[in-house]
Amino acid sequence: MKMLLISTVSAFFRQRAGTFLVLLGVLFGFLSANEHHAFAVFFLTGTYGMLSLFVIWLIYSLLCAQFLANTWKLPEYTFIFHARTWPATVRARRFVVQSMGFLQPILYYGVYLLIIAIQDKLLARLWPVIPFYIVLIFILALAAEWRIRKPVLYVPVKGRSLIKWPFGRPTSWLYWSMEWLVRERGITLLVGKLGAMLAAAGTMLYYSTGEYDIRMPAVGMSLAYLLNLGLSFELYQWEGEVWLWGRSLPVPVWKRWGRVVMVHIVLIVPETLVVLRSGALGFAEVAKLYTLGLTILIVSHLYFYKRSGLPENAMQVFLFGFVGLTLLILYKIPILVLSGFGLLFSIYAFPKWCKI
Amino acid sequence: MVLEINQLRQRYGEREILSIPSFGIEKGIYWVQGENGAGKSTLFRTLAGMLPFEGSVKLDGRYDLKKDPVEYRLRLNLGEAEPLYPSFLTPADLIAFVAEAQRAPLGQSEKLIEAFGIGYLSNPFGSCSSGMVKKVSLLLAFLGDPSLIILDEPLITIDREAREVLFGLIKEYHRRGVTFLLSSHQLFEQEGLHVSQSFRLKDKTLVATDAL
Repeated sequence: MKMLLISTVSAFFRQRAGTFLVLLGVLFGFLSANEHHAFAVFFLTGTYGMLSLFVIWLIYSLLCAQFLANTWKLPEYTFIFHARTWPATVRARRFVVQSMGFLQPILYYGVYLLIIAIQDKLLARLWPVIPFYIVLIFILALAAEWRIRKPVLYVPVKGRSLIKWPFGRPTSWLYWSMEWLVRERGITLLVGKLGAMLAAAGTMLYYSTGEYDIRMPAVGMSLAYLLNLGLSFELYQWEGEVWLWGRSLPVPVWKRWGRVVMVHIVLIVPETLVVLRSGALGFAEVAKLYTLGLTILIVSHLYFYKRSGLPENAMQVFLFGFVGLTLLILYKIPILVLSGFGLLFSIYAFPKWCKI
Repeated sequence: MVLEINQLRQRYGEREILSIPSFGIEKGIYWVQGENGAGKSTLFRTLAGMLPFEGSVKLDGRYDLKKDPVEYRLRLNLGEAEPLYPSFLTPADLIAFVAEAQRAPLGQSEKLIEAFGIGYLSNPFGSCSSGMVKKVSLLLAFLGDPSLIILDEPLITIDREAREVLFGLIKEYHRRGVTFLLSSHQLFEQEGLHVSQSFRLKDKTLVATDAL
């Protein structure tokens, strides 16, 4: 059972983490609590409310079924066909649990609907959700059963996709790095960005409760940006392990430094947008915080090169660094000066710390 | 000298893997032998600029790996023993990227793709067999205008046809003045390839086999 959940359900969420990230951003970043409530009430009371809900859930379930059918065709999934030897009841039970794993977002939304139904005294309208769940679980379990009865063990000559992009994948290191992060380190990306976005939202919430100058959000946002360290480390591993052979290509030092900068410029956009959206700070102030965050991450990233990875005492180093930076901010050293110094230092340190 | 190594030392943490006081080769085809774990792949990766090291490595008597990292890398290509590429990329993506980086002449990629019979350009590497990935890695090693090509275990996992193409390319590039460093547990002479000299990686350094 554990094998099914890890190899298939976890793989689904890991590979689709980018999509879920965008969805969560839309649902919790741009829709207010009132709007969420209005949607729930529509699903519960609208003429086509339950039908709409079922169609949305069905589309999601079909995407899961498509993932399952395609993933189990891959050469590394040949082991899955041992499931054929499980007794029918065991297989049915395990496929049902696997289906519920896929349907987690729907199950969680069902709990939200239940809370709204109790709160608004609409419990009697909630019952169709139960047969919906049964039908969707049945569909997914059936998809799994169909695939293991029809094993396709070949390497497809050409991948087929429902969505055909009008352009090919750009031959860009930056694009590939971000794609790798989304595809292969999706859950880390999801958790890392959610953490940074929540810290940014918390900082701005606190900032709006009183009269503070830029130093307060500068300290808070430094922490929020520092929460990207895990992702920064993943990018270090991407360059130094996954794409190690890429080092044999003729790339000038300034370009390699530029890659480090560019990838972090993209990485910290979401939490910066949270700060911008809060409206508590002007664009120029947000830009200052953004450059500070960028500098912190670039210098921290180079530290991974200096120590050839993540040493045991790395957290102490980062903690002391953060405390030192906080003191500098509190002593009113201008943020742009700190950022400028940090960036210049990174240019100086790059060839020394990154000895390739 | 095509390749000149001086005081090269390579360590993994505290463990020393390579210690080559001096080594040099002129134009030719060289065979590097060594037991499993002797450090052949580490040596090749070091020469290709993938790993930090102590000492100096010079190509064509002019290009120092540390001082001229771009010019050096433009002239040295490496085909790894067990190549690993990001699984979501396709051979087409990678070939286009490397051809641009290595400043490959127009039409070179297409010619090599046809020669190796790579008919799976749009398949992500994740769905390719090890032989398919290996053929792409060999193709990449011939891109651009290298003066030294290192092929680490070039014969493993590839089919007979690809083998013939590979030996044909080695001979053709060699005629044009390209030097090869090859490592393999199989003999090359059987394939009609004349090897200029053989070296063995022993006790962390390279020793000519006739000196053993």
